[in-house]
Order: sequence, then C-alpha cells, then structure tokens
Amino acid sequence: MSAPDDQQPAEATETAPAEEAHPGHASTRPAAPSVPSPPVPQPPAPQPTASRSLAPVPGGAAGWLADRLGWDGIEAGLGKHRAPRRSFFFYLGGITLFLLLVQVASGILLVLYYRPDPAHARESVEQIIGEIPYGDLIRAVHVWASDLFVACLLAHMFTVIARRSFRPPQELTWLSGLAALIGGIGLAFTGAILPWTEVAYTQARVGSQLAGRTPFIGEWLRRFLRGGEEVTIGTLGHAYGFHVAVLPATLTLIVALHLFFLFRKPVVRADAGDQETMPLYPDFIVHQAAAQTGVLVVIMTLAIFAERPLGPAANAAQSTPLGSVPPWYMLPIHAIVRDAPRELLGIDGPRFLIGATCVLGVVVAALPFIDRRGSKITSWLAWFALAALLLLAVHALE
Amino acid sequence: MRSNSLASLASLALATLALALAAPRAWAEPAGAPAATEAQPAASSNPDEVKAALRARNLPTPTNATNTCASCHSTLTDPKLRAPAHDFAGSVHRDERIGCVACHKGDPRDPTVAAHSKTGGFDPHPTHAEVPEICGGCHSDAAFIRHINGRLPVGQLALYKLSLHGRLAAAGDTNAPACSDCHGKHDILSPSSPRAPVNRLNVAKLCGGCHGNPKMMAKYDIRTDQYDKWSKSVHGQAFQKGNANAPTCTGCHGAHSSAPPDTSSVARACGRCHEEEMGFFEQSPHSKGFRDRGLAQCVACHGNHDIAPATALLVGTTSEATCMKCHSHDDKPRKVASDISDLLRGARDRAAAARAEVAGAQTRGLHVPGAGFALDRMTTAELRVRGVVHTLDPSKVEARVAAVDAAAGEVFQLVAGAEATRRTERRGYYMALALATLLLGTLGLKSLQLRRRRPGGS
Amino acid sequence: MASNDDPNNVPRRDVLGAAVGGSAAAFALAVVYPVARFVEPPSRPSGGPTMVGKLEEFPLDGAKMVMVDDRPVLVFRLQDGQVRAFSALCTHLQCVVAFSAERRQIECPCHRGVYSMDGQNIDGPPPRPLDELLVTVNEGSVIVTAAR
Repeated sequence: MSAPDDQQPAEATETAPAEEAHPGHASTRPAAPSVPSPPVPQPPAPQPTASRSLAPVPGGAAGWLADRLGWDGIEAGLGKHRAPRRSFFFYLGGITLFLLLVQVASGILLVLYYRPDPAHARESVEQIIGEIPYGDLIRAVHVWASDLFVACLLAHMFTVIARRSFRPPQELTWLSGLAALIGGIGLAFTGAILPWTEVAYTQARVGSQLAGRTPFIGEWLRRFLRGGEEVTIGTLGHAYGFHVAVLPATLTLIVALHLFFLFRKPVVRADAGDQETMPLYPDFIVHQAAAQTGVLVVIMTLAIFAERPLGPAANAAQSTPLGSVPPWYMLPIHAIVRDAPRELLGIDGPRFLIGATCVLGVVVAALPFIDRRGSKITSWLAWFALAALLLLAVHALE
Repeated sequence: MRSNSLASLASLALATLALALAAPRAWAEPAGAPAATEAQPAASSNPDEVKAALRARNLPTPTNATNTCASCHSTLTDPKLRAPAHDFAGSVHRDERIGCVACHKGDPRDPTVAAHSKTGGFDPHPTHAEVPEICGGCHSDAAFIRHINGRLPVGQLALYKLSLHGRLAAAGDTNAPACSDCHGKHDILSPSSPRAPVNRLNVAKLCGGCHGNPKMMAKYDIRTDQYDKWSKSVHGQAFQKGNANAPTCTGCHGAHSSAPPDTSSVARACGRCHEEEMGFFEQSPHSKGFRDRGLAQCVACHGNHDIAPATALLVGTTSEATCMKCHSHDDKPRKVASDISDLLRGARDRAAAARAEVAGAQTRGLHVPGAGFALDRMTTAELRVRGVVHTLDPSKVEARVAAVDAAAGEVFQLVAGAEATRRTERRGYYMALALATLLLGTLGLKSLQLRRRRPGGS
Repeated sequence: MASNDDPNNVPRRDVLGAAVGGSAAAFALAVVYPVARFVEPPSRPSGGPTMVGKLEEFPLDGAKMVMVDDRPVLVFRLQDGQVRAFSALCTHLQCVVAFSAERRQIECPCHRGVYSMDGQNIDGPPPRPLDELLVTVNEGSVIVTAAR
C-alpha cells in the first residue's frame, strides 16, 4: 500500500467532506455539520504512478526500487488473479515450458563452440566435452533435458487427452499445442543430427527417407529435410539452421500463442470459488517454482551421474551398425516399419502406414471438434493407445 | 564541335591506312626462315653427320617424308615388322628428329627398300654387345642430349661399363643385361611413366626377373632369394604400403652402377637415407674394426635384403641379441651391450607407461587436451634413441634416453592436470546439486505451507 | 459523404481499401515466392563415371564399399572375373547395407532386410531390388557410372 502520509497535499484524496473545505487547516475542525459524520476515513487508493516529488523514499534501496517499479500495484494485481487448483498433472505444461527454456539457455552456450560442418562437427562437440571448462556438464544437461522435454511434451498431451481438457472452447489452445508438439519433436530430431556421429547420420538418412513416404508431399519433404537428394554437408547445414534459428523462433511464436489462447479461455474461470482456485501469487507461482526446481534437480542428477557417450564419427562409406535403433520416441514407428507387411491393400507397406498415421494425426487434431463434450471413451482410447505404443516400443527393442 | 570531330575522323582514317600498309610487313615470314629445300640433311649415312644434321634441323612439323621407315613399316602386315614402328610411335623417342635412323642408321629420306642397304650403314639387328654404345652414342653426348632434354643424365654408359653387368655384356655374355633388356627396344618409356619397366614401382620385378631365376643365376653363383627377402623386409613392406621413400633395388644398388657389391662402403649406400646412423657408426669402434676384418658394415648386423625392423632386441646379452654373434665371450663389449640394453629397456618401459596412462584416462572418460601432441613428441624422442645406439657409447645413449623420460614425464603431468581439473569440477557439480536440492526442499516446504493455509486444504 | 442507401454509388473508401488489400496480397506473394524458391534445395548435377580404384584393390570373391556421387556403393569382384556394383542404400528406408561373407548375402541391419548377391530383395521389408550401377574395367581401373 502506498504511504498515507501527506506527500501530495495538493492532490485530491478521498477524505471526509468536512475536511475538504479548508485544505490548509486540517487540524482545525469546523462545527459538527448537520449530516452524520461518515465512518473512519478510507485510506487513499494505491497510486500507480511514480512519485513526482524529490523527497527521499523510505525503506532504503529496496523501497526506492519498489516505488519506481510500482511494485505495490504489481503485487496487488497478482494477488487479485486466481489460478486453477488442480492436481500435479496441471503443472506438466509449465514444466515443459521450463525444459524448453533450459534447452534454449544450454543451447545458446553450446552454439558458441559448435562447428556445423561434417569435418569438424563431432570434433567440436568433443572439444566442448573435453576442453571447455564445464562443457561436459552443459552438453550433458542439453542432451538429458532434450529427452525429458520430449517426454514431458508427450505426457502433457496425453494428460490433456485423458482428462479431456481439449473440449471447446479450448480448440485454439489445443491446435497450437499440437503445432508446438511438432516443433518440439522437430527440434529433438534436428538436434540429434548435429553431432554427426554414426547414430546421427543414420538418423538423418532414415528419418528423411521415412518422411519421404508421406503421401503427396513426401518427395518434396525428403529433399527439403536433406537439403538435396542425398545426405551430405547440406543436410547438416539445414539441420543446424532449423535447430538453431527457424524452429526456436517458430516455436516461441507458437508457445506464445498457446499461452495467449489459454489465458483468453482459461481452463478454470477466474471467479470460480476458493475450492476451484488459488491465488496466483504467492501460491501458484511458488508451486510452479517448486515443480521446476524439481525438474532441474532431476536434470542435474542425470547430467552429473549418468553418461551419454558421443559414439564414433559418421562414415558415409560404412554399413549402418548392427543394432541401430532410433531415439526412444521413434521406437513404435521403428517396430511398425520393420515388421509391417510389404503391401497393404495394394499400396506399399510403409507408405500405407505413414498415411494411416497421418489420418490418425488429423483425427487427433480434430478432437475438440469431434468429441465436443469430452466423453470418457476418448480417455479410454488414449490409455489404450498408450499401451499399444509401449508394447510396440518394447517389441522394437527385441 | 564540328571541327574537332572532323579532325578526329581524319586522324582515325589515317591511322587505319597506316596499319593496313604496315600489316603485311609486320606479320610476314621472318627473312631467315628456311625454304622447303634448305634444311634437308645431306645424303649421308655417317652417324655423326646425320646427328649434326638432326641437330641443325629447326622445322617443328614432322612429315613422313623425313622418316620413311615408319611410313612403310606401319603399313606392313607381318606383325614382326610392323610392331617396331607401332611401338616406336608410342615411345619416349617418338620424335622425327630422332627417328629410326638414330639407332639403325640408313637413309631416312629413301622410301625404297634401298634404304635397307648395308653399304649405307643400315643395321637392322644390333648385337647385344653393340647396344650400349648405340644408346650411349646420344645419351652420353652431353652437348647433344641437352638440346633434346636438359634434365637427362649422361653418366649411364660410363657407370654401366664399369659394372659387372657391363663387363660381362662387353665380353659377349648375353645373360648380362644391356640397355634394351631393361628399358625395352622400341617401346621405351620415360622412367617416370608408371608403365615403364624401370619405373621404381616396377623395377624390383624387373631385377627379380633375372635374379630370381635359379637356372640363370647358377652360372654366376648368385643367390636368387633377394626379391623374396626384400618383400618381407621392412623396406619391402613400407614400399608395398605405398611409402615413396622406401628403397627398391635401384635405391641401394644404383640404376647403372650395380654397386654394392663391389663398393668400399656399404654404409654409404644405407647412409643415403640413414645419414645420422651412418655418422654415429663411423664414430664408433665398429667402424675401424669392421674395416679391418672386411665386414660389410651395416649388413653385418642388419642383413642386406632381409632387413627386419630394428628393435631393442638387437642389443644386449641374450642369445638372440646381434651383439652376441661376435662378442659372446668378450667382457668389455658384453658390459657395453648390457648397459645400452638396460637404457633402451628403461626408455621403452617409460614410454609404454605413458601411453597406458593416456589410454586409461580415455577409458575413464577423461579428456586430456594436448595428450596427442605430447605422445607424438615422446615418439619422436624414442626414434632419436635408435640412431645413437650405433655409437656404442652408453653415455650418449643415456642423454637421448633422458629426452624420452622428459617427454614421458610431460604426458604424465598432462593426465594428472586433467584429473585435478576434473576433480575440482565434479566437486563444484556436487555442490551445485546440493544447493539445488536445498532450494527444492525449501520451496517444497513453502508449497506445503501455502497448501495447508488455503481454505479446504489442497 | 456517400450515401449508403444509393446502390449506384460505390464509396471511394471501399475501392481504395480493396486496392490496398490487393496490392498487399500481391506484394506478399512477391516476397513469399523468392523465399520459397530459396528454401527449396538446389539439385546438383550428378551421374557420370567415377574411378573408384584399381582392380587389385577389390578383394576377389568379396565386396568393398566405395563412394560414388555422395552415395555408398558396394562393388563385388566375383570368382569368374566379373565386377558388379550395387547401390548400398537399402530400398526400404536407406540404411547402408552390409555384405555378409559367411552367409553370402547382403543384409540391412536396421529392419532386417535381406538381398541376394544379385541385389534381389529376398526377405524383410525392402520393396525393390538394390539399384545396379554400370561397371567397366579400363586398363586395370574400375569405373562405376551412376545414373543421372
């Protein structure tokens, strides 16, 4: 609250009508008027604008900063807002965003030393790990957080489906979230290519070839991802440009839109009662901070104690090593393309399955329009799909 | 301005006219250009005069009119007669200024069979003993050959005549090679061409063709295992791996002199490349000792064709050591051998320990920046120890072994430094993790507190 | 001010507004087109003969991997002297295949595809045989020609 002291004697304040008549004579009260005197005078409303006087602000440096920032106004504003009171799953979105920020920060540090050409890429990563002080930690953080990021993205999407939060009026939030999922997986995919190790090279090759089986746009997509017909230095350059510039910029925009849509049509209305909401400040912010610090502790533990060795350098003239598997989030697809029949209904096997996946993707995107009421069937289907994907992933590792 | 443009036009016209008049004179044939009839060689078959005429000839364009041999022989159906013309056209000698007459003589302008007349000096089949002189007629004539190619050597004939090959050939032995046996007859290629039999890629097979033939060599009591021994030797192996420095037969024996053997110093042959070792050897007591006993220096310990990679096992007092072949009962040499052997073993062990240290660090996941360079420096120091062994002076060997120790010490220091850095970093990580966990704890407690304070519990 | 009730009277405001919109759209296209062409990767000229080594460098009755035009190629030198070359990119999803000397067949480690030594796809997901490339041996040098 702003100080009720008489710093602005000239400005209008809410006082008892009796004192108004003689501004300079606040101490002398006139005779009691005929009107019953009003109750205790209200304290003056908080002033959002900074002080215009040069008189010193009490409270030292902190008080000065609070005054210049208008901190009281901010605090009051935050205090007014309410946040939804939900279970832990509600925090997954915030955790995912936090992981994205961790990736951006560690990525910016890594980009200072990484060299994006096939002759030097792996060497530069080795240099980061071996020679740059704390490089091994920052690289390990980036690698582990990327896996956690994709995991939280998928978990967030899964909980939204399972809890049916995609219902109208959340359509735009849902669609922007799916766009963010595509951007996030794109980031993970392009990032894995950058070290240009054997695994990275195989991933670039097989991943772009698989994308090439998409109906209609497949050929173009394959050449677009590869930066040409074959996997060459152009592919690494493209992956680098996407990973460092195009996708982060696009994803920032999409995430901003996602949050904007979320706040325009909140999951819980701000005026729902105390049982449904909590104050944004300090409660919600502290809970978010705790959750994100928890994620940070997990990342740091993994980065310090678990190894992610680099692997041998890519060699185009070498056979793909036996036992190559794609990253874990691609394992179900790996199982499908490995064991799918060569032909399904007269169409080339993988092409049919990728097409079917695309159709499924369209269905998932249109969920808010298909299942307007959020029926329990959707939840059951989501759990079923999760079980199927896990089984496929296990099968892929056999 | 009108007058100015008129003036410019006039001067331009005058210039063009002047140019047109001067042109024929500027681009006319030089006055000294020989007319078609001038430079024909005199109708002579005297080789010197033919050569002089060839030398004097300036015309660059060859025509069959000046080498009628080829123009007729290339149309003949008998392969024996056609092949020489065909081969010659692809050889290094394919120049009308040389032509068939440079070796076979005769009249190059006579298109009839009369050109074959022996009275004209024509010699279709020079004998084996005549060949060196025919080739040497041009190739040891410095004044002549430098007009053809200024980089060609001129000492081949002289060296050849002094060699055993040359002496036997001059005495009429057709087994001994003359020029054409190695270089070819009509299809001679420059030695730098990879298809030439005398190119360094092929010369070992060329020499081995005769020197590996037991029937041929039996007459001279020469062994026939040189090529096999050389292939397995350190030189042969390096050569097969494509090392351009590795010597083949000519690298040690020379191309035309075929010496060694028949040389006063084998060490000079080896020292062409192993210069430092040769210098050390000549300082050592072995130099005079070997000379007095007629031992062939380097060959006495290392062999000649079957040279094995030189390891520390050569030196010492064990039964396999080379020193013990002569010195098994001599006290002082035994002491020297044993001292040097101990020093070498010490260097080897220390270097191996340094390498193991780096390898161990790598398996532990520790990156040691600069380790590669430090190991290279140590390897260089090790190589330098090998040469100094030839001095047979333990103190000199010790000095170079000390360099190996120093380089190895550097490697150990680098690894220790990397470990220390890593320990410090890890301590920092643990502390950061502890602080993060502390923060998590306090935030968690605060969360719980807020939760309890809210109406309705969670 | 134009009267909105009169149908014959087209307000100037709307025409100008439409003109602004139209020119904005046209300009946007003029910007998007070069960007789209830029992003589309250029195609490099490829194909034509490549010398991949000397005949002696290829093991008899075995296979060796070489690079032709940024693509890995398996070159076989058979007992009867024949030399054949196949693209080493699996026709399934382009993993790089390997030759198994024990089983005398070409195998793809990614999804367990199998090809015969003729390049025919005999087992697993690959839908087509391996592409065969033209091989000539010229003066002891092996020359592989990639299709354009």
